[in-house]
Amino acid sequence: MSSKEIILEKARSVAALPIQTLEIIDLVQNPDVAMSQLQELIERDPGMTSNVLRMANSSSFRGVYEIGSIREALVRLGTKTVLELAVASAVAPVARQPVAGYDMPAGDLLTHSVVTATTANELAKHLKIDVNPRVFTAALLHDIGKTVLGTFIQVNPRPIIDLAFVEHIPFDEAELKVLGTNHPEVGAVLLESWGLPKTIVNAVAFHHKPDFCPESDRSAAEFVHVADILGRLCGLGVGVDGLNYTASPEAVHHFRITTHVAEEVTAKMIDTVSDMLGVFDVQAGSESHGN
Amino acid sequence: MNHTVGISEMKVSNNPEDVLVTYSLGSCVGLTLYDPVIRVGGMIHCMLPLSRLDPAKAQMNPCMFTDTGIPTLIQAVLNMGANKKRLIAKVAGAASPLDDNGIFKIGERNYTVLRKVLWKNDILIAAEDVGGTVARTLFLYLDTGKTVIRSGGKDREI
Repeated sequence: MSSKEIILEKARSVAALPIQTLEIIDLVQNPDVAMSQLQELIERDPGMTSNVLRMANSSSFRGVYEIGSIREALVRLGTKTVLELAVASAVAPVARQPVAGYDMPAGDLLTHSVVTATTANELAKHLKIDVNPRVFTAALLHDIGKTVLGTFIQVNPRPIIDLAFVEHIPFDEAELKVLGTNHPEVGAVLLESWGLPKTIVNAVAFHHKPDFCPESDRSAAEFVHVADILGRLCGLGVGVDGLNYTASPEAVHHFRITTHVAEEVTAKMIDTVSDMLGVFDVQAGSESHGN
Repeated sequence: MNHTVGISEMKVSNNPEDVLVTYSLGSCVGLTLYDPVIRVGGMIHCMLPLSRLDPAKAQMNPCMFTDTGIPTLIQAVLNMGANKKRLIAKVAGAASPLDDNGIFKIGERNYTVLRKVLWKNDILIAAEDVGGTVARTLFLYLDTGKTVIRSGGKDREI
């Protein structure tokens, strides 16, 4: 087997998500999910209930009055937002491990994942566009392939780093040259084997090269791409790959991203992200996130 | 003792046992100021170049923006007795994505504003590690004024 085949085989063998997580993600596929069904699913899990309520009361979402129950959250924030929060609570733990090869201590990948999802959320608000919850889920999971490469396979990152930083080629392309595959592809294979929706799989697979994404999911891939680049600017939870990626001019153009938009969204994101990170017990700019 | 300077924060100290550190400088810019005679030093982590983006926020927290944050840090070390003429300034951060077409160049804009503010205050930059595509961590040791950059798992003094 080539190194690529060995890596992808490993990705398929990573333990699947808990049933309840899959049930929640299944709901993301269904645009008309009933409020009562979602409420029941969340309330079955006290941990998820508490996480969703904490996120609902964070500065990103809460209004004047405190939200005290899932029912109230559904009425005040809408089914779509509550579903996003439930998915975040369900998938976040998979990003908690340290990623050795990428110089990311425990919590860093989760921090960058939450930063990217929060950026996606703030960007959608700023652009006044309606974004599918699947995009939010993809933003949370976009770098999950690094867990496979850095932790399960423990690839030697040195040749990739040399290629990326000495020859100035994007980190994902350097991975491809050295390993025959890269973290977006590995992540997509992992998520596909977990049975996640195609839009999420494609948005993860093409988050550094959205121009190559099949048209039906290109907009989702572009959105995750832009949120990832914007999220990387703040440096939080970013590993050895740093900002060593290229932005797609098409994606930037599609969402009319200007320097002003980038700065406004970054400023809003940093205001709201620490609450979100607190829900998952990771803190912005603390020692465990330095790199 | 280690003191973490978060994003949009600053810290000053005259305790020689202190180490000031700021993590995750991406396109943000970090500045250290140190007076070696009285061993007073400070560090700031500014996120965005210009306070006119959100004047209300800048009023609440001037450290968020480079144009309001740098003068705030200068004033804070002067208030602790530092002499402006002796201040040693070191800079880190201001990274950008690869092959950027200009839109995401918040790092370069941060650096330009920082230089301008320091120049206006007659403070020269003694050393710097800026630009490129890496994220950086910056340390300032109050006992000697030693400044260390960590990136890609390696430490080096500037």
